[in-house]
Amino acid sequence: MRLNRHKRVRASAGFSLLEMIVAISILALALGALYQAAGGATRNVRFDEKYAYGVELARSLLANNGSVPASGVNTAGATDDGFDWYVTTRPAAAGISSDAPPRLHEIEVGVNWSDGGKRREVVLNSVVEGYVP
Amino acid sequence: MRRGFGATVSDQGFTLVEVMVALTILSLVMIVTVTGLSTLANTQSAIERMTSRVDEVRSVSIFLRDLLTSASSGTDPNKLTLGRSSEDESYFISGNDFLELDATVLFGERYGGTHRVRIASEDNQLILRWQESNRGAPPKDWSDVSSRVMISQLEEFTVFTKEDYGAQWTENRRIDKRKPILVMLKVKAAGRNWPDLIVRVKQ
Repeated sequence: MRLNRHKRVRASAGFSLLEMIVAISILALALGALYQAAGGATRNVRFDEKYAYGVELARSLLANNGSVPASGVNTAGATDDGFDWYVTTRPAAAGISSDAPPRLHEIEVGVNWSDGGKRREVVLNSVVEGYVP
Repeated sequence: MRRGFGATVSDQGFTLVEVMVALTILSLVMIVTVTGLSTLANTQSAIERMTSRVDEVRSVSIFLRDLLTSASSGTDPNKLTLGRSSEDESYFISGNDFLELDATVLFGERYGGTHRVRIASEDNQLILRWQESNRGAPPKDWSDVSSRVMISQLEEFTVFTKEDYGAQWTENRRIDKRKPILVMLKVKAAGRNWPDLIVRVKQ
């Protein structure tokens, strides 16, 4: 006991300021990483929700235009929830008899929305029948 | 180790001030930790709520689309038809807040059989009821058949129909023999408006 008395006094001097700073910053880093992970998860879930809504909207628009006037469709609009959409058609490539007006139209339905400053988009393509109103 | 005048400083234990400082630091650390944990728990439950809502939107939308896309024609499921059946044979009734139709669905007692299905909003719930298509026998009352809750916190459910692509959306249609071309369902649940669900009905 008496031999290492000098050592004991030295050892009981507590942590130095530097040690404390290092320890606290490690704690802060760990907490920060934890919050970051939680925040990332919420963000992903919100993106997912918007995607689900966007895809449903696009499918509904495609069903709504399951048959288009022979003159084609070119409309656009926006929903109350902040989704912008457009529907455009163009005559499909003429078949064998190129004299007759094309009966088929290529349709493109697009839905886009902003998500934290980024634009995200869902586009559906299909071929629909044209009718003469 | 003997207590007394000869004891060194380090043998005397902590002073009150030291204990106070240590306790304060400890309590600060505890506050930070507990706050962090409770924030994480809140985030967790919020995420779960959102995920289940998105799941509900996805699964119910897909189910309703499949159901209307597989609407069957003809009142007798065993009757053979040549091509498209005549229009007066189908069963399709829709009102403001309900929809009844014959459809080929993959559930129930008969795998892939034709069922008579009713989707209606009752007591703030969207309820699906189904019964086997009966051959000629009068249909059972809808309150006696199997049912399932599809949406639990329903606030609005409106059915619109369109008889033709060029026509207007109509509400409260009560024709029971002919199927419309398009059906639009407007749903509001748990304070959120769903995207309008427009489906082409199989003719």
